[in-house]
Amino acid sequence: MSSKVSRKQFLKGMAVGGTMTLAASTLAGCQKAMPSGPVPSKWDEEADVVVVGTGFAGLAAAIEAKNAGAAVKVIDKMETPGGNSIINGGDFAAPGNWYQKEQGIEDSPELMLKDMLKAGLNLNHVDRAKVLTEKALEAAEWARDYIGAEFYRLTFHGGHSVPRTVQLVKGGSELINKMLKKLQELGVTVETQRKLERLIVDEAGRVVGIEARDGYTFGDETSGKTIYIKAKKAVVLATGGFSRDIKMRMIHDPRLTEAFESTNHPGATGEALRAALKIGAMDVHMDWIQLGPWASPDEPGFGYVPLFCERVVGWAPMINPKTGKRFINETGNRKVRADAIIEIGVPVIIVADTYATEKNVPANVIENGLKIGAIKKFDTLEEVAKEYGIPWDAFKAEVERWNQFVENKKDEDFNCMIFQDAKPLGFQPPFYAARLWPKVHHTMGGLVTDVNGRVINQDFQPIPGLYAAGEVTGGIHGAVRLGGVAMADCVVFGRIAGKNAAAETPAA
Amino acid sequence: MNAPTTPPSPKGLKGFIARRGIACTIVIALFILLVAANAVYALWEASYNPSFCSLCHIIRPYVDSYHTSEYLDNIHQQANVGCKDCHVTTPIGALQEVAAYVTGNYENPLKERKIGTDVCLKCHRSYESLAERTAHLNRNPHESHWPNLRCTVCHKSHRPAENYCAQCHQD
Repeated sequence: MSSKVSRKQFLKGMAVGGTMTLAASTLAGCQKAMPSGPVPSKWDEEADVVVVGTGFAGLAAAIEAKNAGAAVKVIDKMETPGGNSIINGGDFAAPGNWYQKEQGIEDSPELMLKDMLKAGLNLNHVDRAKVLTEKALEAAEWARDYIGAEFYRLTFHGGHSVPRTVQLVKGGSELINKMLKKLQELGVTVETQRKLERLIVDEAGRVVGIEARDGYTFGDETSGKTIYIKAKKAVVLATGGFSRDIKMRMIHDPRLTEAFESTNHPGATGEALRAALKIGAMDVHMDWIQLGPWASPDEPGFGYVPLFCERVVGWAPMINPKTGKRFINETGNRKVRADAIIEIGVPVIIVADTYATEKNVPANVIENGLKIGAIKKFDTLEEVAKEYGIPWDAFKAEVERWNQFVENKKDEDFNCMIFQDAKPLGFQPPFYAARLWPKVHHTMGGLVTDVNGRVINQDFQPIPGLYAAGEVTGGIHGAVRLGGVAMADCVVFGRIAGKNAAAETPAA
Repeated sequence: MNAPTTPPSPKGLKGFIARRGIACTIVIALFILLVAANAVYALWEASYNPSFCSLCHIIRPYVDSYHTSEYLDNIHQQANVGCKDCHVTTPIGALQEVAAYVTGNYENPLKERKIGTDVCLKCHRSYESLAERTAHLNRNPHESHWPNLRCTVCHKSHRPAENYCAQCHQD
């Protein structure tokens, strides 16, 4: 093994999960990558560890690699750093966290794992999911204490059995900007407009560097000039998902045409993932592409409505405007909700009163949502029905039924989680409502990696010199990723990949 | 029948010095140098005038745009800001440009330059002062999650501005 990750460590990692197919085949096949073209006779630049991507995973990897003593280079193809993470909502799933303790909420890594497996339809790679749940709290504390990111409250996301996500002030940009600042303090410069073109593999089958376009402008494939960057120890791929790569997502899920908007930034495309596939990496779950059921057709991108909708589920009902009735467990996972909305075929309505809204939703979300018209305000429920064409009698009866469930704290129809402090809809008018139509949000699929962050090849073996972390990897979430678990995944495995990359023995 | 030989008078600088004397030579050399320096200086000064830049056929379209467009270049023209106030260069840089021209090592149309924020802030004071001016907007582009977003990511001089934020956010 050319890696310093010892066999003992590796097997220990395997034993943690136990269920991965890798264990059965560690003795077969070759630890090498496929050739991708010539190795340059002269490198333009070099570093011990080259990190590609500047979201949560990439920056976490860069910081850990640097702190482990490696010379680090961080590149990003976009003009600005932060990838999708900088527009992330800012929720970090951390079981047993400080807010839960304050509020007396019992939680554990085991319970989080159970939730992940349930939502993931047990397709999750359990060994990695287990590492994630065990290290998520430590990673959140690292973000809070070492990086200095400011969290301010506990939030709930559908599919979790308890509120367990800690939320950053200013969303994901808080953590990204504090990590960028930390990297600056550590003397690492983030190099934007540098796009990975090819992973370079030497004769021994080790990834030894990258071919990149320097001065690249997103969308102009002829821009910039070719440079070769040597990675003496390893390359870490942290290039995110492919939600905005319409051609690629339609290969895996042909329903996801350009008619579906995405919550992602424009750079969420899949060429870096494919660069790894070209050298023999293995992929998994590529057709499990998550749609956000809380998105609005009345605003672009992620917008304000998700921050309203996700905060009032469990306090307020979602209504099918055709029937006037509820149709799904509002606190269920993203997949069941998105599928149910698509089956209805028209945008559905979430409606909450002032009590539920003011108790849960930041004031600026409502203010801005109202300003652009994605959220609307009504004095009565009858006006809500009129605006969205909901049959009034059926709607009125359904609200009465919902209110009974709220009083009893038990939803007999869909088993929605009803929060302790929830009050019947109409307790305090006026009402706030929004239309919901799913948007492409997260690609669960990606590169197969082991618990050490190493990319696995088609012979079930780690590719020497290649690590990956974050949304570019697949398997950990199974069929459905729960809210707040992406950031946890990125930070936990970004750190692991960075540390292990720095511990590699340089190529001969 | 040999012609009488006269010693050949030394040619070149040596001869010149021999004929005129060292002091005179130095005075003349200094004079020439002064004229040349003045000419270079005048040229350098003249290069601040946009019409100087438009002498070059590759740059001319940009200067035309500067005089007539609806873009930032024309706004800067109205404020009496010249090409070289943004396209900051040094005499060596200018020589390199001449060399690039002579050797044909340039693009046409020219590659869009990425002017640094520091150049803009020579006149536009500070990011904070700009943020104050756009504080009325729903999302303040000068107070975004990119604290040091380069101005030219959105503000283009010779073509319409691009709303970079709108790639993900509604105004």
